[in-house]
Amino acid sequence: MSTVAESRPLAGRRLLVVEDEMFVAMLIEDILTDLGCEVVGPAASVAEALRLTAGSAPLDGAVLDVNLGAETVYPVADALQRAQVPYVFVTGYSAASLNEAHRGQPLIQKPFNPDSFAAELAQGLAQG
Amino acid sequence: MDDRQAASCGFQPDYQALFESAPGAYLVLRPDLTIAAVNDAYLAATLTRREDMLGRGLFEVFPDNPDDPAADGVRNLSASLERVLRYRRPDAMAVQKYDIPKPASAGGGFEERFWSPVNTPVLDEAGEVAWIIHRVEDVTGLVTRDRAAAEKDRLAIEQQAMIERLRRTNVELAASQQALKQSESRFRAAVEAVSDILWTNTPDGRMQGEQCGWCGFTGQSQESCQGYGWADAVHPDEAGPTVEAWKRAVAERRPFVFEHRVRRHDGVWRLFAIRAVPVLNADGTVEEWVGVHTDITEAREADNRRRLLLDELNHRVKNSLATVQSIAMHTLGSSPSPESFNKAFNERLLALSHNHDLLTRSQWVGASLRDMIVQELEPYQTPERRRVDLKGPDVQLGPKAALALGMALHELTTNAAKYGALSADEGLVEIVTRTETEAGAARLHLLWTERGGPPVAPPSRTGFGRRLIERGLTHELGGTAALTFEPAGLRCAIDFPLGEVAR
Repeated sequence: MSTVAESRPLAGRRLLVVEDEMFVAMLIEDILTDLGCEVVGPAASVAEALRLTAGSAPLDGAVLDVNLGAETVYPVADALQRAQVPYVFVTGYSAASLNEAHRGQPLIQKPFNPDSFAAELAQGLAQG
Repeated sequence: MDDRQAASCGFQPDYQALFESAPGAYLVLRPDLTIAAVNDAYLAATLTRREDMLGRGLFEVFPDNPDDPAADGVRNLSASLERVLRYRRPDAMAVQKYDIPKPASAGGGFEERFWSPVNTPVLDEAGEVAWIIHRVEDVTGLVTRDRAAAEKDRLAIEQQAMIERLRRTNVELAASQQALKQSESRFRAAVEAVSDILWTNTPDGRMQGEQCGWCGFTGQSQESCQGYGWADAVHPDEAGPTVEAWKRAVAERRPFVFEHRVRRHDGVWRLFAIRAVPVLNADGTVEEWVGVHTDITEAREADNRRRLLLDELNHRVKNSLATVQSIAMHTLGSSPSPESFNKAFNERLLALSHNHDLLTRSQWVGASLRDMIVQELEPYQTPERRRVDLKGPDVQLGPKAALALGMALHELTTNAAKYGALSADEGLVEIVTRTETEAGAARLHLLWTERGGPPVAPPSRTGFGRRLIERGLTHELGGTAALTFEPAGLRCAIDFPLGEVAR
């Protein structure tokens, strides 16, 4: 049992996915599903993400794309922060281009390394 | 003589006294040109004394002025006397310059004199020359008067020339003033054109005097910018640090380099790069500080835009790579062989690429739905048979909707070519579009219907294409997409708001 838990550290978690690129959203969804997570979303906009964040079932964490077309995901990050839900950013941007208030938050770079994604995500959610 | 005197009136005149007092200037020479007699007028005219002259040679007493290289008195006078001795006739000389020695009491040297001499022989009974009477008239006054008149003329001419020169100088001066004015206005125009602000400060780093550039730009008056008054036109966040850094540069006499915002006269903040240097005197002391404010607002904005563009480019490239990664992983999951993976993967990448091309043609404003359909289905049209039936209005789609719908169309077409209407000769794909406006928001309905293909059975598992259409489109477009596997052919009903995708 313990070996299964170690190889799938995120199994059973309810994770919000915010990503506006269709293919990337599907990829994250697949990876998380393979890890045994329950995916909430994916949301393509701030409004939809906030609606899902305020939903009745509590979230265990969130995976947030920074750039959502014309808008940025920061309002969602702030809402999660207030709700004490850990989150990680996924982005093609460098860590330096995160806005000042969110610099230093855990960050996973696109494209993903499927082998280390789970570990990065688990570590990021433990921090964030 | 005595006889004649006696014969006339018995009165004996004193000839020597008469001679010596005669008003003209007379000198009596012996044939050997020694001086035999001289009268008072001659002595007075030549500043001489009788006792210094009698018995001495004429040219011994009156030599040429050694300081006058052009002196010809001795030569001309001796020539005249020579003629008198030879021809025994009076000889009148032309006006002769013959300077006379001044007595030591009068300072010595020579005094310039002009003479009109007449030499007259006195013959004895034998007809030989016994005496020569040398009579001179001092015409120095006449000559120098002429000279004064000539001098006056010369002065008048010179004055005229000087006036002419002055006039010409005035003209030149006016021209150079004009040139100066021109170069000054050219300088001013240049100062205005480059939009740089030039300014000066006193050696101790205070603004002083006229500062046209600064006052013109900021609208500050000359009085209000004096000293450190200029800092009032600097952005409040930067005024303090600027003055502080400026005082330090002045104290250390080092070039001042800074950046700050300055309020233009119309209230707009502009960003400036500032550079100032001390101008040194020969002794190394600071004469003044000269500074330049260069407006870098546009340059900085361009820098920021470039940085944003690079960030955006990086973001898009990374997203594209993640997209390719996603397509690869999903294609791999649904491919029974490496060959089929290769084919499906390349077709999906090419479909994505073609949709990008359509968007690039419109500079990423959007793409026409009809163009996308034609691009995707064109390869299946044959001259003999129409395989595609397109009805309804065309719609302009925003970039995101175009890419999402383009990929959905690709999946539908690929599926039709493999299993559906486009896999049979008699097959036909009908695409009907319809737009409707609901509460001010436009919606697009698209119905894809296949006919004439092999009988359709619902798939045993949910493939990538189906997921892309049903979940992806819903996610991306905020609408609905439903696949129905009817025995006559596949149907796909897509419905999404155009307003939302038009952003």
